[in-house]
Amino acid sequence: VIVYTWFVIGFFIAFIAVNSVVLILAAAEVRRYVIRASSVGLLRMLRSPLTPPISVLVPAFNEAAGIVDSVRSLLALDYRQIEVIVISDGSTDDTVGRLTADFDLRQVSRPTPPFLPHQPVRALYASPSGLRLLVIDKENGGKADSLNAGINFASYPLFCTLDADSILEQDALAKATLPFVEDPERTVAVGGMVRVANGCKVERGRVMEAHLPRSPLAMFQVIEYVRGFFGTRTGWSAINALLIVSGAFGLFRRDVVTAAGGYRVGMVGEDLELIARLHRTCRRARRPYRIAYVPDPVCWTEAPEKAKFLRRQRQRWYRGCLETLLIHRGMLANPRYRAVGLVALPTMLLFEIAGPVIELSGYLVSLAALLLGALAPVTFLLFLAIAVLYGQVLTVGAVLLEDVTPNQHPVWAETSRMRWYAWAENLGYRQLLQCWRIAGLWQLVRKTGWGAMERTGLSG
Amino acid sequence: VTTVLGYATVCLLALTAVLAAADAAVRSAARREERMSRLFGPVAESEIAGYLADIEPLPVAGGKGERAILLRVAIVALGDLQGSERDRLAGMLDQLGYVREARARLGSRRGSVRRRAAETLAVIGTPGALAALRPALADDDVLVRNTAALLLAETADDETAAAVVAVAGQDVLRAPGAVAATVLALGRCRPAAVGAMLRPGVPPELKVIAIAVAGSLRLASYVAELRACLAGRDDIAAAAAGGLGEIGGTQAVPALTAMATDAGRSAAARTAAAAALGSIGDPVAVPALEALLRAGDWSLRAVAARGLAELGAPGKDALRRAAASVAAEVREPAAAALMS
Repeated sequence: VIVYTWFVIGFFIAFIAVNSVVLILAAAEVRRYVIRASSVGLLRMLRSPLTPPISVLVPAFNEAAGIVDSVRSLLALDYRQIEVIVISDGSTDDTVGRLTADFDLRQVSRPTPPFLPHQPVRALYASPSGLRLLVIDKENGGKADSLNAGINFASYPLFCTLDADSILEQDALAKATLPFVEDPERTVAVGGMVRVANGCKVERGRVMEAHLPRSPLAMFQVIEYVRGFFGTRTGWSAINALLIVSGAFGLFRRDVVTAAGGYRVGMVGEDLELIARLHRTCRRARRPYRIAYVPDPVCWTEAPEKAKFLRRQRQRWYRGCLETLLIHRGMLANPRYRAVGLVALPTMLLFEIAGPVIELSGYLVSLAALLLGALAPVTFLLFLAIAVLYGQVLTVGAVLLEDVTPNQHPVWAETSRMRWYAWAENLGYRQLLQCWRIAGLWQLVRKTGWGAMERTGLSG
Repeated sequence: VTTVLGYATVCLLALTAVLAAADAAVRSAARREERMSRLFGPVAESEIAGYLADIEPLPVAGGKGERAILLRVAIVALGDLQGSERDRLAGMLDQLGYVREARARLGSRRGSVRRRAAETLAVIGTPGALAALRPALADDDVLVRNTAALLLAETADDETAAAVVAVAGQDVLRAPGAVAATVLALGRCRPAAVGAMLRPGVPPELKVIAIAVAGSLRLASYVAELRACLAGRDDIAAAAAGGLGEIGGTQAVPALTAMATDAGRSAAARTAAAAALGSIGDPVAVPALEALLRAGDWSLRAVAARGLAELGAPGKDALRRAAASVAAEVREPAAAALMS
């Protein structure tokens, strides 16, 4: 028991060391970004005709309720040249019908490009009036399959992936393009900030007023998102070891993704796996590359408010991590893949995959040590205090980083509520997530199903 | 162990407090700035409008914050104004000492301060301000150098344009995006300066940018240079084909036809040439594009079909012939192009 307690303490010290370094790297990266983002020259670059046009890919499965508003807001984005491609993944509702009726689309004939495999296309719809909107109606094959179809039909060198119920801020695409404009040859993928839209006032596919969610579960996720995006992804991006560009909002070079084989069909963490594969293929090809995170462009998304949907989501994410790590195990601790192989993947293995098991067993074993008298109560309490306080350091540090970016969270004025939730997440929420992850691991072993997330919709 | 944990707890508590205080300070500064803007912004606007209408004297901004707001409002106004009103406002800023301040800040040790100073000087744009900006082209910081280059490119005389081109050549690998913006500005304001970047011996990365700018701005005077670039390596040739397609003009059709049908070229270069042939719209290209409908590369076939659709009746006839082909890979893109 004592040996295991010390092992858990060692694990925790490693956790603190890694996360502290990542937070410091994130601070340096945010500072660098703020300096560059305020430049007059940058604004001119983004408005110039040399800025690459973007194909916005929106995979949709039974999204008839909100798809028209989403597409309308995308077509009105503040970007020089975009096309919107909606991929209906065998929808059984009126997703395609709504789009064709509202945008006056007609069925068109185009040969299916052979670059990436995907389920057969039933029909293509485009606007006769020159509106840059294409609707692909295809057989059901999952999100990765839909994205592959979208990549195939995309006309532009960059593509942006977006969930059908996500909302992009007007200038998000322009800001996310920054690394592609600054360094067009090396940049292959860029991720942006995803914020929780629950509680916000949404009208016609736009966030009109930002508010914090009322649901406690969604509030905890607000804190997690800020910590995850500002405290973690920004830091990994600084050393080109970013392992995830969120499927909800990411920007990619089409030729590089196509050459890497597109999205892998049949797994839940297709976004994570694609990024790992891009690192792998670029390193193997000895191609200078960069996968970046820009901490400013914002995409709003709906977070699950019910425990059962949050559980499914987290189990999906956990399974995605595990599958990606298994597929790319050859990169683990491999110096050929530099920071990705030597730091990022081992960190994912240790803290994301093994973390839940070690943390929960740590609680139990420490408690047993306490009861058996092998651990002094003061030591036990101090250890808990450190864990909680370190969580606060990460949260407050990430919030500080967000506050120094040009696009501060509009509701940070409600700081006291935020702070309460940041403390409260240590009292049950965090442990609950770890339990769900372990249950997910068990499910994976037993190969059971994962279920779908129910969305209540943001509009109205 | 308990003592160590105790110290660690105190340290973390202190760190949390420091971070929270820093966050509060950042927010408070943002709120203060917003309040100042709300208070003095309209005043500055009215003072500037009054000065430009010649009904009010030179505005007097007292504190540092007020001066910053006056400058910000003036910079926005400079973007909207032209001619004598713009000159009068720029002269006002010069008289109020903003040029002197910015010139002094160009000597700062902090790159971000120097860059902002360069931006201020460039926006004011009086001869004195631009003369003060010139030395920034030799700044150690790539961002400051390129900020100055971009902004000087818009007002450059021959000598300055040559210095701007030199900065572009120096930084094209480190800051290709910034260099592209500078070359574009140069192309808009002094198209003659782009020619220097299309000559042999220029770094290929800079040449590709200059070709893209020449195409994007449809600088027809460079058709001969772009045509010469078609003989270069694939990425330069592909860029030149794209540029020629945007400019138009049938002189380049034979060279583009040769490039599109050259099996030794990369598929990307051939595709760019085929697309350019479609954009130029000369029916002379029909046989070449029709032959490309049987090429091995899917993109090349698709672009050839789309190109034929743009070549009028002869192109449509070729598509109809291809649409009747027994080979699906020939028939499908041709049929789709006919229906589009």
